[in-house]
Amino acid sequence: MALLEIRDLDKHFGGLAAVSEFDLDVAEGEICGLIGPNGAGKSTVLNMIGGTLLPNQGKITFQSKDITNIPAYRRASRGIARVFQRNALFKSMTVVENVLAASYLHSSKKFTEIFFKTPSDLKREKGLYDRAMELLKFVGLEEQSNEMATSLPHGNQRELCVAVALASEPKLLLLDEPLTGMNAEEIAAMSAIVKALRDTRGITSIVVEHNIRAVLGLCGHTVVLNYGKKMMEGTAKECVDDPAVIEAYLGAEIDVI
Amino acid sequence: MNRNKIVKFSGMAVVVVLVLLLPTILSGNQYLISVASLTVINILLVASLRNIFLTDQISLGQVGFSLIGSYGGALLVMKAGLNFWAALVISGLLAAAVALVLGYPFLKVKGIYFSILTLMTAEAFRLVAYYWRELTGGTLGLVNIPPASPMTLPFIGTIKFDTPVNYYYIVVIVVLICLFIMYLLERSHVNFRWRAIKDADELAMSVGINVIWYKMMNFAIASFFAGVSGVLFAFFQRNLSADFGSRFGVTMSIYLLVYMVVGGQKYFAGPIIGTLVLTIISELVRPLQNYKDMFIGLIAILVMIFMPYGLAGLPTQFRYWIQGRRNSGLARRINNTTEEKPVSPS
Repeated sequence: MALLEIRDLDKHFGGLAAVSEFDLDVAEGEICGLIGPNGAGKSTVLNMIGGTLLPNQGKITFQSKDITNIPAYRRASRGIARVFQRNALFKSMTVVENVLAASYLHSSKKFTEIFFKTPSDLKREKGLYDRAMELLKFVGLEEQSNEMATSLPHGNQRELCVAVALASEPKLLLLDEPLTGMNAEEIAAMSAIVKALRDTRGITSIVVEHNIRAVLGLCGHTVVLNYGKKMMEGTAKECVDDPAVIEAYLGAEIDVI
Repeated sequence: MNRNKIVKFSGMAVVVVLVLLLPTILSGNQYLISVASLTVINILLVASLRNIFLTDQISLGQVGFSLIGSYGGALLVMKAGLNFWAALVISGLLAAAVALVLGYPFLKVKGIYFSILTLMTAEAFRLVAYYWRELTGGTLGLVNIPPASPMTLPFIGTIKFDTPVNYYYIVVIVVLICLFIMYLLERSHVNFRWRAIKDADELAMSVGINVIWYKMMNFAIASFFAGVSGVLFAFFQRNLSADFGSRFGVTMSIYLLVYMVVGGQKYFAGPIIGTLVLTIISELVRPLQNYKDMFIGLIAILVMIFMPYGLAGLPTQFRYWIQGRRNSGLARRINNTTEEKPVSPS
């Protein structure tokens, strides 16, 4: 059984059908690519999996449990985490504080900690801090841990976004255009991180991305969306080579390969 | 303990001692002691406003919750025969409960919409109090509120609170306790979550924080303190009126906001300093009568333009200024010796 199953998903905004009759199966350990022209409904699908939007129709099943209508904050405890399109970070916090704030589900703070902290509270706090530092080490930011998150360069901020998403120990990671605005080096680093997540932690990813070359290198299973409908599904190479996809995506000959 | 902490603690100790000795310093001037009590009551109300600001919401309805506290406290004592202290806590909890119920729909909206909702709610509360003649005395107001019940302490005996000086002490002690709790809250993990919500609520939600619940909790806590401040006011004034120009009107909401911004909304001390300074100034310019409000407005504008961090942020602003001067001097010297480098856009 697939990790994530989407059946017959519909979402319309007023008269506009953003997504219609969308089906998707994502198996465990996959890096699934979601591509398509602007306005095809990729982000809407991601928003419905993440819970920021609720579908008008259809069903989303995660680990055999129906999550179609549960609120976004409860999806985190089910194991879904998200990297937003913009660099969404806690602006007033340092790098390590960002990860600590995102470790909410594992912080298990007691009410009494408002007034005093027992040695065991402090020990737990230390444990959380160590865990946060470990995550930062994984994305290569442990040296910048005490800098303000917003003072990092764009690529590093994206990596921090991934560390923040990992803090809730997800099984499924939703990445919304993780490579936008990055240079070749940063793209390689980010792709390596996503692959390492799958290989070392078994984290499944869904990647919405415009950079076709990176999708080819990163994703196995790929789905092409156009006008809110699934147009093509297959390996990344198959999708990119398909004449209809090329037509829809670029309106002309594809020149990225 | 480092130097900074020592300075902070000794400063706080001096303030507390000054506040406690104030009636002696004012040598029993009844009028000034009343002004001092009212100021301290207002500080709590402004602090409650700032507590909501911790999640990036501006409430214009704190007077509404202080109204619940005021009328709740007075009626619980007058009609239900409760003790002052019980009424104090119960009315605060009542205000918090109302905030919790209203918070669910209200906190689904942000920014100006939340402000408008709270403003209208406070007005609605005020109009109910103004027209419910049987319960609140209606347009005549609620009069003859008894003084706070006497307190019997071991070793000291019974203390009565019927004089302004004695009541001043109740106000100061209750407000200090409330502020201390708010201070602890602000340093705790609870505020860490509020900060996360303030910074990026969508992200906070996606890492599992129940954003609406944390905001409701924040709103309820703030409203509890607004309610407590209201009870303190009821037994200070000993009569309540809910007409437009009263303490529960829109004007007061605006004043609370001005106090907070002038004091510096980023700082815990902001509401305290802002309320204190503006009250002192408005007492000093009392001879100006009708022009008094204009004068306060002018000060608020000047502070906002020249002190973006507010009065409490002056030390920080001064430090930045010194640093800026030093750096610009350094930059000049570097520029004299090296070639000008193109600035990379970022």
